[in-house]
Amino acid sequence: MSEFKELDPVLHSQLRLAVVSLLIGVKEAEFIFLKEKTGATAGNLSVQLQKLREAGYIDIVKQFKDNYPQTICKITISGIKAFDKYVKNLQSYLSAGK
Amino acid sequence: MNKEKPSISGEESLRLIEQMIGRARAAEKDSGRGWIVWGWLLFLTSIIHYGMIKAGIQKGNMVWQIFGVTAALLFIYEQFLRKYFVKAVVKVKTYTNELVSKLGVAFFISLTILVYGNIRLGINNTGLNFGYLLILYGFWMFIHGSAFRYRLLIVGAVINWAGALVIFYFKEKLGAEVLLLHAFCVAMGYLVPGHIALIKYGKADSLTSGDQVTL
Repeated sequence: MSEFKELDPVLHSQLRLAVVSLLIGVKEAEFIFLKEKTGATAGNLSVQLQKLREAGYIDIVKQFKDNYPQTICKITISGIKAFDKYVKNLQSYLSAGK
Repeated sequence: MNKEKPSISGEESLRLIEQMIGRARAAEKDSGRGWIVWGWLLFLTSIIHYGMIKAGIQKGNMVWQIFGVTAALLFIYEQFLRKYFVKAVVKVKTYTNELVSKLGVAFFISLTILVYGNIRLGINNTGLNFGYLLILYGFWMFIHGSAFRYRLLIVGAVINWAGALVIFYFKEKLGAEVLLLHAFCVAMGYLVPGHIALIKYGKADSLTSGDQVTL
């Protein structure tokens, strides 16, 4: 798949792309929301969220609310820019292939 | 969703993005419960007041005072106290929901000042005050409906603005019937869209929770 080599490898993964696509349109989302909407397992989602956090694309805040642990995810400015670039690259590849 | 797959095609990526953005957008919804309560309060108060006038009961303004106190208490409960009594799980916060919440606060502040102004200027007994109220309702409906892309609320806004025009055109000639016009506009702008939104909200909830992607 050499034609996709310039696509951001952090985003060019199904689950990470799904997470960023969900977060791009909201202010913040709980872990459980991302899990429900992506249908991912908790373990896999945690790993992918960590990768996105390490890339600086999302912020993760862990807190307690009413004695229950809560993990809140929010896209960063870098994440928005990276997603924007990813979509533009993707569109150019798709239009070039037509 | 399975463990990370090494590569996806461009089409798959685009489809996934569209799916997820659509799913996040589906989280931007309003159950309509707030408008239903508010709408019924307004509707019943108008009808009761109209009935009192027709029955020759002079204390018609009292029902609006009761309405005002009830609405104020409900507003305080909804804005400040509800979170202490109802442990609602908010899984996602959207910019639209936040904006609409602030719009609600602005609406009630504007409404309070407007009602005070109507009483102070002495036009609350002319029926013209309902024209100003319908303009304000229409404003709220139009913004709220646009934010949630809910056409029925926008139609409600147009009906309320038309109602205001009718009131200002006929002025005092409408008499007690202004209350029926007010009730009609409230029904079209709050009750009908509210009840339909509530039905759709329940369906959307079950749809979004069960509608999983399998990648």
